[in-house]
Amino acid sequence: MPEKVKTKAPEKEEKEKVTPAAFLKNHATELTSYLGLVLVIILFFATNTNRLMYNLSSVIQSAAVYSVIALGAVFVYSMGFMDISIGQQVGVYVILMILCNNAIGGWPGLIVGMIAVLALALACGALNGSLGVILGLPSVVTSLFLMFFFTGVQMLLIEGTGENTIYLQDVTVRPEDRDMYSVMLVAIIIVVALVATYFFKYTKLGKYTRAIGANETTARQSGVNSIKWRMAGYMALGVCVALGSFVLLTRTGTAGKGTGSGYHMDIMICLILGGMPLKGGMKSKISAALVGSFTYTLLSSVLTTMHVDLNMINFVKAIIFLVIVLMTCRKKDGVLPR
Amino acid sequence: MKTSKRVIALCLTLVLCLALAACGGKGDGPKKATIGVGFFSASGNATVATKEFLAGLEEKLNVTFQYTVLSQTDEAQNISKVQELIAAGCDGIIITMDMGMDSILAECKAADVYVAGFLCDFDSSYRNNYDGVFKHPNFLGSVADGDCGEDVTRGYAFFDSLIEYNEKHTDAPIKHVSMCTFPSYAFPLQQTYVKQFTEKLDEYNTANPDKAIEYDPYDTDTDVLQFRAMDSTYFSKHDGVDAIISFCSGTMVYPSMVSAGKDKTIKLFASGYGDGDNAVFGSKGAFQTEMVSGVEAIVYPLVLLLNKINGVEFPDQPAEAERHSCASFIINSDEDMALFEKNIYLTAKAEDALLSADDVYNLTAFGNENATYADLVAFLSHMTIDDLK
Amino acid sequence: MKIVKKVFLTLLFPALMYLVMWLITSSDPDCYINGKNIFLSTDIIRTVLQNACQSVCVALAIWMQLKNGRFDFSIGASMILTAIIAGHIGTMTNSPIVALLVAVVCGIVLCGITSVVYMVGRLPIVIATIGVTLLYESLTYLVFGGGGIISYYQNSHLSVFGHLPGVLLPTGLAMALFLIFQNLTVSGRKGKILANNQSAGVNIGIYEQENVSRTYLFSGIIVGLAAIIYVSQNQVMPQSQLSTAGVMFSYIVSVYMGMFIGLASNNVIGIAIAAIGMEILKYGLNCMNLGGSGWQQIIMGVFVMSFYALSAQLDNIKALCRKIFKKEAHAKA
Repeated sequence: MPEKVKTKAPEKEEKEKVTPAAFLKNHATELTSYLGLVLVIILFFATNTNRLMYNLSSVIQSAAVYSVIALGAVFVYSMGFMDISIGQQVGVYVILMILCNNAIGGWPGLIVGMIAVLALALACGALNGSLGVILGLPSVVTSLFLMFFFTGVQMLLIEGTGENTIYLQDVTVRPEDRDMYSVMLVAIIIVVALVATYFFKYTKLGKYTRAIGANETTARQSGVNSIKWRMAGYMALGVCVALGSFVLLTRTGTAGKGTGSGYHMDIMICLILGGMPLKGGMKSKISAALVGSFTYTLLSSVLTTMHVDLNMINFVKAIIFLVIVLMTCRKKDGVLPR
Repeated sequence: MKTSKRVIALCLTLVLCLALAACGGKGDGPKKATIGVGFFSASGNATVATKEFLAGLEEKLNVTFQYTVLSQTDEAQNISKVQELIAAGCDGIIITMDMGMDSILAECKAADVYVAGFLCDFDSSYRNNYDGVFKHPNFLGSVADGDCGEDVTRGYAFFDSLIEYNEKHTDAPIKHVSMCTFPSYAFPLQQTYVKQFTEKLDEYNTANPDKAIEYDPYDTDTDVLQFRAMDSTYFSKHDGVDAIISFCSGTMVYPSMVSAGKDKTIKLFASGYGDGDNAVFGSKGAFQTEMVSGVEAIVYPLVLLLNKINGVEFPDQPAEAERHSCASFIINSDEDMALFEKNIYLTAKAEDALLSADDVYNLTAFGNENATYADLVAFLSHMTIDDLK
Repeated sequence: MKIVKKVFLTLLFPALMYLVMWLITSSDPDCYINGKNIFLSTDIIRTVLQNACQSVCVALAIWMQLKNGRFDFSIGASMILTAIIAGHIGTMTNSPIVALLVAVVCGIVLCGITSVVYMVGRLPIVIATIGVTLLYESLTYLVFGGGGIISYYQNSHLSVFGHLPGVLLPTGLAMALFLIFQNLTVSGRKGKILANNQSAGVNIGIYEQENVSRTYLFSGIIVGLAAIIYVSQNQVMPQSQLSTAGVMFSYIVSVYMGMFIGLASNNVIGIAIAAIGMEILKYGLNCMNLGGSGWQQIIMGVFVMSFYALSAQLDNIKALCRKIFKKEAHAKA
């Protein structure tokens, strides 16, 4: 059981002193992110005169994978690190689950696959978190290694099947009813969000990962075992990547060579849009994962329903991204930020 | 008072008649429809020419097109793209990929949207999931990029092209060839092409020992291109060849020949057409054969979709969706290339297509009451180089 | 003697790589054609040099910013967009020289825009460059019909800067520019100070924005030179979803390894030597039919990891070796 951290009393005192102006100043980034989300929600409902329910469930389908993985990624990003192997991990995990299902058959095969993937994800998390410290490497190098490794494994696994695409067999993971499926996905998002929030806000895991992000040396000098908590942070991400892979599998039921490609960057964009500071630290927020994921997905949907030319959508998205980060991430004074 | 009532009644009758006439007018033409097209590539002659061809049909068929690009390896991305097209208001979707079809069809069923294939043989679905795809009420069928199923003859066509070349160039015939393909998991038919080609060559060599053409045995490691440009070690592994028979796209082979300085010494017989190939074709360079499916083949899925959207069907419409081969432009000479250069594939002008908007309209069940499914399928076999003459 | 040692240490990596791959390919029957090991053919020189030149240029562009403390995600996107624009204009004019000039100008303009977004926006460099990357990638779908460029590298006349000996010109220029900037310009030296201690640098009077602008100017020229090689060797497709970062990452190995190899000589030489070593590895794998397969990725990953771990732990290894040898000496005594 994770240990609870008692930090409520000082927080209360601080809250009492906060004026509305100071609150706005201190929470400008969060407020802008929330405003962005509200804006795209309004636009979504305004532009979706036809097929509203269909498009809503499409958004939920896309956002579910992003949300689940981003919720785990918050633990790693709060330490000021990033993991560029997420996409390839997702690809390999989905393939492994299908291969186990095909080899053993039905639900038992899929469950074995899920357990194997969870174990693998935890091992990767532990490796990602510990190797950097033990071997004195930048965190990006260990994830670069995993990215190469999983890319190769994904290619070999798919080529080994002799097919371009592999399918789940004798098992239906996605409810026939689309609305039911949406409810299932929303339930998964809520459960994962609640668990992640609990660990991030009320346990040592969240507190120490943020402390490492704020200043690792200080955290270590204050008694934080940085290897242990780095590993724990990456393992939390691993669990969410494994779960996100399952959510993706429910959506497609198939996998190929390109499954999962680009997720590492999408997750980064989601977190930035949600107001996550990339340097990590105490301002890291779990809400950034949900706000960012839904903003990102809704934005794509809104632009499509507004009949923006599909070649122009990326341009519009890029402009919106730049405007949002200019509003939320701008450093006012001092040396140029790095 | 009576008069005014009569006038009002007359006016109302007129309004009613006009309204009825207007309604009747609306029913004359095809329904306004939006068709989404998911290409296999954002660029290249085929994509540009297809867009131009479709643009030329918009007015006559009362249809608008939305375009996107699908992934060859990521089924989740394809589902997202299909969802985007549905969100954009598409009534029918033409796709060029056979990945994640169960989920794509579930999406289309939920939104009451129809799907058909273009330049894709749906081989994976055909072999592994026939009932789930070909019997699905929202799937209407597909036209392949060249041969499919039992109709495969491309291996023989390559052999014929090679012999045609040697007959024209008796002074410097090709005596030694090697082959290359894409991986069999993605293009299983290319293995059949290899078999057909080598069988014919063996027969030829037995019958004509003085004109025998040596071939390097097809090697599943060396001769498979992993969807990237041919590696330069290929030329060391196939030292001394006069020609490469590329059952896969020539764009994966020719640049490597240029890079390795082999474009002047090795001839290339290839599938597909890459931008600028005509400048190095026949007497001008390395390319000696190119086999290309015409973009006009898109009328097959388009007509089927529009018929559905307009609530009509052919009298001989099959009960289940089908996949069909389409004839290829087999370009074997400078003269052939000159003809091909006048086709929409290269000119990107709708007026240079094999079919005009009126022709396509006449192929539909709502535009021509005598139109049949057999006519539509028959057109697919009339896209040869001879049809360009 | 010192120079000989430096040369020896610098060349050790590619020499070892060649030796190892020779031994491995010698025992692989796939590598023998007509009784000869194809790894030993002269083709290796052309292939390795051509590909290494591409790696060197991109690696230098990445390293230019990294050395100044900035991890620029937009290098890949700038290169791809530049390659498309330069390729099309080169094709229209049928001139590789025009393409080269356009590439350099375009590289400068795009890197200039990146620097403006970074400096005026005062955004963290990763966020600023991700934003710019998204923007440049989106433009690849909009410029010249959004089709990328396929035909340029098929044309032996136009793609002269992608093959030997033409490829040596942009590569040599990029290396010379990097050396000049780092060693002979005030901006280069000030950049080193800023990279070591940004606040201290600003406090002693370095005008940071001017320094960043000049660094990006040089970076832009190198990106342009990298782009002309890229478009001369590859078909360039429109990109999205930060896929250009993947293109960039595929060249980053040379940067990290070059940093280490460069300790014996110079960073630029280190990067060039690292690129050559990695291309020898790839060539050997291609001879064994493992090029482009999953095994190549896995071997690359393991290699990068091992190399990095070894270089990071070099001092500890040295200390351990000293300890072992001392013990042996004591035992012998």
